[in-house]
Amino acid sequence: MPRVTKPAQYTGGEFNAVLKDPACVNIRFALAFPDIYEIGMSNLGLRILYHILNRRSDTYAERVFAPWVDMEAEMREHSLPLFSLETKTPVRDFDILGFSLGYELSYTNVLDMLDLSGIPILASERNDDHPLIIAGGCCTFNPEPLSDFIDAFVIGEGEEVVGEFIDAYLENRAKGRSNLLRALASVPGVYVPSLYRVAYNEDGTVQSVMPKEGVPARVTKRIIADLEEAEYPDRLVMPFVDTVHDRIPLEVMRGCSRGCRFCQAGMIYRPVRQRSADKLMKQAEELSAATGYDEMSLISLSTADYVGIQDLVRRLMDRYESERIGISLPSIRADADCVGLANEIQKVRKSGLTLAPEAGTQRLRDVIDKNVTEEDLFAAVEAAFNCGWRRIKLYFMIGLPTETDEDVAGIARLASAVAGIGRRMGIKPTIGVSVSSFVPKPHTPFQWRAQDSLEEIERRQEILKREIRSRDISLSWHDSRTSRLEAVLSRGDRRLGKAILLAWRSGCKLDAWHEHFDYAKWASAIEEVGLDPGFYANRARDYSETLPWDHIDCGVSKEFLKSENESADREETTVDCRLDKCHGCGAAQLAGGAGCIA
Amino acid sequence: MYRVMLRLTKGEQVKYLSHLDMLRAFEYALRRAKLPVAFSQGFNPRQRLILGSAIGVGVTSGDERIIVELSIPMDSEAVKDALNAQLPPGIEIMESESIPDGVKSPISAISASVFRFTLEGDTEQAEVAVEALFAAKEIPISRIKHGERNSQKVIDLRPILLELRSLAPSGRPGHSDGDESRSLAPCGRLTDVEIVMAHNESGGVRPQDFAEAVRNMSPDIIVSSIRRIRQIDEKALGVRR
Repeated sequence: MPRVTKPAQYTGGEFNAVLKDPACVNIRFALAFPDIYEIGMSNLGLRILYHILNRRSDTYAERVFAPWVDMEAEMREHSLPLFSLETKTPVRDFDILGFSLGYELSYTNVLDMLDLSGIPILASERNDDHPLIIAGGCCTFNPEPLSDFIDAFVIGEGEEVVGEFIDAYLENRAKGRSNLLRALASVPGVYVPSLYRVAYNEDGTVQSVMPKEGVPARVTKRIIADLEEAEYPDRLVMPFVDTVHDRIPLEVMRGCSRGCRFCQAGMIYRPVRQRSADKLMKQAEELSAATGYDEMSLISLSTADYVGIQDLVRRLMDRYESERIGISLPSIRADADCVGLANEIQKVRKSGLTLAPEAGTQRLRDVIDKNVTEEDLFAAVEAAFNCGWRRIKLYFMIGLPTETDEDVAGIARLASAVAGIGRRMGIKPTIGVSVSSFVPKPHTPFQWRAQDSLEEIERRQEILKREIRSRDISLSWHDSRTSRLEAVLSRGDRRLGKAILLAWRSGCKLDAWHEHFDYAKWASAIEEVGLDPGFYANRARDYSETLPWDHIDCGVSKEFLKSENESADREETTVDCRLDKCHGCGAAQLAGGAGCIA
Repeated sequence: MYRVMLRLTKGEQVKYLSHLDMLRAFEYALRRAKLPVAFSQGFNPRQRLILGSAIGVGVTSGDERIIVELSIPMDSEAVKDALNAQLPPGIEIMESESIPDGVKSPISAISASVFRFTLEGDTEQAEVAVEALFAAKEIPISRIKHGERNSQKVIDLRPILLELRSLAPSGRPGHSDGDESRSLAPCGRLTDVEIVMAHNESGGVRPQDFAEAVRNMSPDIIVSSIRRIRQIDEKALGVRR
């Protein structure tokens, strides 16, 4: 142990960690996050499930994270199996092992953690002696690439379904694995991939996904109709070591009505639901007392859109200023009002301000339905410089549908204009331009679109490098190969399972960590199993094509996605449904029509 | 300002915490305990704490010191009880003591620590190695400086080793200092060494250096645990000398 980095991440024993006698529960549930402790401990979904599961007297949920490479090497050398943090129980001795899947590039870690646990990686090779392997999280909206490895996926928000799942498990566990899986498949929101047969056309596209008898043809995601009554932790495990998100998360809202056409979260988390300020004040009270944190972050996809945000912020500040608890916003919209709000919150610490115009020209912003104008952005920047910010970070994407070289050059032009505003105001600005590559995602209006080839992405990056010359502006971009693999995995089908297995066998793991990512290994693994990365990443799909995730229903209708995709081609925006009218995306039905606060 | 000095343990469960991790765990506990801690001035006010000598990753301790500054007076026992209810398992306050106004911080007088090392291997060989170290005129230890191309620096450990207090096979009575790991250790091939090591000017002390010196002397000996038993001030040192 002293030989590994940050050994305290493997010891557990944190304040507020739940301790139960394992002999006194019926179900031992390992909540696993397929990345290291400092990432996994920042995940809100995991914290919510830990709280809900441990409230049950018949269940004990413990945490498991991926070890860093040095720890894994020691564990393999000494034949030490992967163990839980709370009781140091080997993971293979649990009843259920549940993974939270938030990022496609953590898939090989799932395989690695199964292997480190001594559990067969393939679902088909497991039997009644092995834990049931399940997964949830936003990646499960296309569960197909992992269907060789996962016994059951839970689609959507977990607060309610996790209890139904446990009940069904308890009732059917004695009936053998195949009967158990059939019973679980009847729980709404649960998808058991082995109960569906996928047929392919000659060109490699999906022909059909056929459910076995008595199994639902489509699995509809679960949502919490009333966020107000949803379970939320009243305490948090306090990490000993630094983690990415080390503060109180106050989840103010779920869903986003902005409708950016590239954004998967903006579609799959619909409908929009708010928590009342009163409820949030109560949660803030409980959590601050139980944790001792000196910062709370107002979490959602678009916190500035919370109806009554000014009032909520004021109430929190009035209550917690004397206790020296700060409030923070995870991201802000590019307009002057939002900058004003951020300024009110961060009176003293003016670290850096991040704004996301996403595209360099108005035309392209209209295509992606990012309703931010140049005037909005300039007003936001001016307000920020006025308030004392000097460092501004701008997020952009390249490779967006219909993008031209002129749109790419527009990023440079916009960044120079922002720097120019600062200089004219007598400030020496530092502008960070961060550029990622567009990844078409399932369940978005752009799910049918092609990603640019690696060469094309790199050519566009070169344009930017050439165009950005100011010393006030620093340019950074995401590795184009990472984006390409994301595109392959996020829109992949079942056949990719073999490639994921082979990639892992050839040494791929911790792919989300730049220093461990090896695209060449991935590319050869994909080719070796007879697949073509370009087929998944760079191919535009026809509307008539059966998409590998068509049997997963996220609430937003395909018709809505199509019409949004077509509006993009016409460079037409769709006004935020909370400011305009309901556009009939379909998600409101999930909450009985009453869920949307539009 | 009202000062309370606390003596804490760092047990087996938390032995892999760094000094910074320990401090953070303590700060959160202070906030949960809702004690009237004084805050520093400035843009980024922080709880006013005076930290004693730092102890590294992998070392347990029966005597860590922190002075907490309070804005209103409070009974030192009440401070101790309130904090113990909020500290994670493995960190516990054993004693608390109010420091009267005008009295110099007792932490600043501390200049050395008593460490106990448990050595695994042939007991006779272990004893010979330790005695040889204390008989030596110089004990060069190489230290890798991270960052600057991992350059090596050689220091002399000998002047830091102030005293050999005891050296005997483990498992004998006489270790009733609340160290919970002791009763679990197997007997037979274990040797206990208690030594006094001097702190540097900033309160730092690296018992790992002694462990390395033992290994250099006798590569078969494994240092299986290191514990700070007590921190001592100049006065206590002087008396013993």
